[in-house]
Amino acid sequence: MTPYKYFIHLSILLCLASCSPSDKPADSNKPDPQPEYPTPPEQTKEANVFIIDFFSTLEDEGNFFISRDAGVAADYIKAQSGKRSIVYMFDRADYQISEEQAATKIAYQVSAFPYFAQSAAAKAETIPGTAMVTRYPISDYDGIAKEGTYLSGCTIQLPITLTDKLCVATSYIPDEKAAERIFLEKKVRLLSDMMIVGTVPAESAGAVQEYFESMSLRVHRLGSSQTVKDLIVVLPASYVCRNIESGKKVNLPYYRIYIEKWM
Amino acid sequence: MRTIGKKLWLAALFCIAPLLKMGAQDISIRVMSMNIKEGASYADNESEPYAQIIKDYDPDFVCLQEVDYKTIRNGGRDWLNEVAIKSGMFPYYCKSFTYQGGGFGTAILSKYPFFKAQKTIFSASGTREDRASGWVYVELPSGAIVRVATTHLSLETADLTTKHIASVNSAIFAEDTTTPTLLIGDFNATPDSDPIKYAKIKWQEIAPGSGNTIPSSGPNRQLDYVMGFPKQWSWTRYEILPYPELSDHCFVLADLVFNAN
Repeated sequence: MTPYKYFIHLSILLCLASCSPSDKPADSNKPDPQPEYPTPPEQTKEANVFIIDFFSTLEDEGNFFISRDAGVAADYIKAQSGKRSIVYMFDRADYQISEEQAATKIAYQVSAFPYFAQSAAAKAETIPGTAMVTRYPISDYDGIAKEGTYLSGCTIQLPITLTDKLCVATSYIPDEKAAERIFLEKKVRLLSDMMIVGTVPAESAGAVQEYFESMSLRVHRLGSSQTVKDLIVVLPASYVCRNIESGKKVNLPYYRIYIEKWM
Repeated sequence: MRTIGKKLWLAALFCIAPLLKMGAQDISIRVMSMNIKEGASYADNESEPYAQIIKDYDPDFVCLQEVDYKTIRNGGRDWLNEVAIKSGMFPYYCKSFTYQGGGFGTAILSKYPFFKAQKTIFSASGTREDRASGWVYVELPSGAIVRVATTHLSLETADLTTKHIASVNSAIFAEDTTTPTLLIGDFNATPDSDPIKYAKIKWQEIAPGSGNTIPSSGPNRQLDYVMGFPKQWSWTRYEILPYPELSDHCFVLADLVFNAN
């Protein structure tokens, strides 16, 4: 082989090597590290914003209402004016089998509809979960209960200009594996018309956020070094979380989440 | 060629069958059916007597029909939520149509939280009103998943009742043909009628011939049924409960077992 031919062969080999899909992960199931979604405009369109109130201590202290009055929550809901929340969520409003539930009581007091999203199996007398109260009559609830992972929520016709139906779901997502299970089960809806407002243990929060973002979902997270859990908001790319305000009604801490459908 | 194809299909089915069964587990539950007659009109729309019966029998699921939501005739009461609070159960309301400023429809009460629920409305020419059927998915303490549906079928003609069953079937089985399911309620058809014969093509009638359910003061016809899918259900108890002071229909109580294998 002449040096000229050797150089030609080497060039072809190098060219082929550079064209091979070596920059793609070998395992196509692995998340793409670069989230791909369009950027929403900086300017918020108020007419397309809706609110969700999430009551939580972000601690692991058991039933939220054990030392708090459901009547205070009902007063808070009744006192709202102007743009009101579409769903009020009460993290760890645990359910005692066959006992009166906080959400049903609150919903009855404010002429709304109750729902309870479990976050663990119904094996014990007490089932941990999130209570939901909404003024919208719900006929479609969607979710999963699979291998210890739970997610569920109610589908609501959003009161915004860009009218759309959205399933507002909640979940306690213990780790990345649970996040993956949720995504694989509800992929189509999560990418289009399902959002999650839930909690995640502080130590897994980064990995869970990274996983959902790698699946082209928009993630917002709020927590502190003082809390055991982080609040997590997972949205399809056509929605954006504009703000999360924290507040307190008597001894009921809450997070007011402003979400805009921008596309 | 056709024989080889057939053999291959059989082999494939043989391999897949155990996988299809993997999801199903044995189930043991108590259910009730309660047609409460025009929004509990026999009890002046009070919720307490119905809640007390539910508490006494302690069912896992109650399938209700003729439930009013904040109508003029029921005094603007959220009757279902009242019963849910008193019995400590989770409510799911399926509005059939708007009525007297509120709603009229069917409902389910579940002892355990449901993670998914859907409804379907049958609306056809010749019927005097729309009718909703709804179902919930529940993970039981054993880990088994069951789907429980409530229905109140159209009564104008046997043909319409049959069409209604077909409509409920196609809605229930549109996405899911494997989860053990119960269809409970007022079928508005007697056991020897064409609608019930049609229903039994897909569904297993639980405790056939167990008794008449209407009128509650002296039952002479059966209109209320508990049906199961797939046809692997058995029962250890099946009772017709007459409460003439609460409804024109007798209530139904059943202890059921689903045998997965």
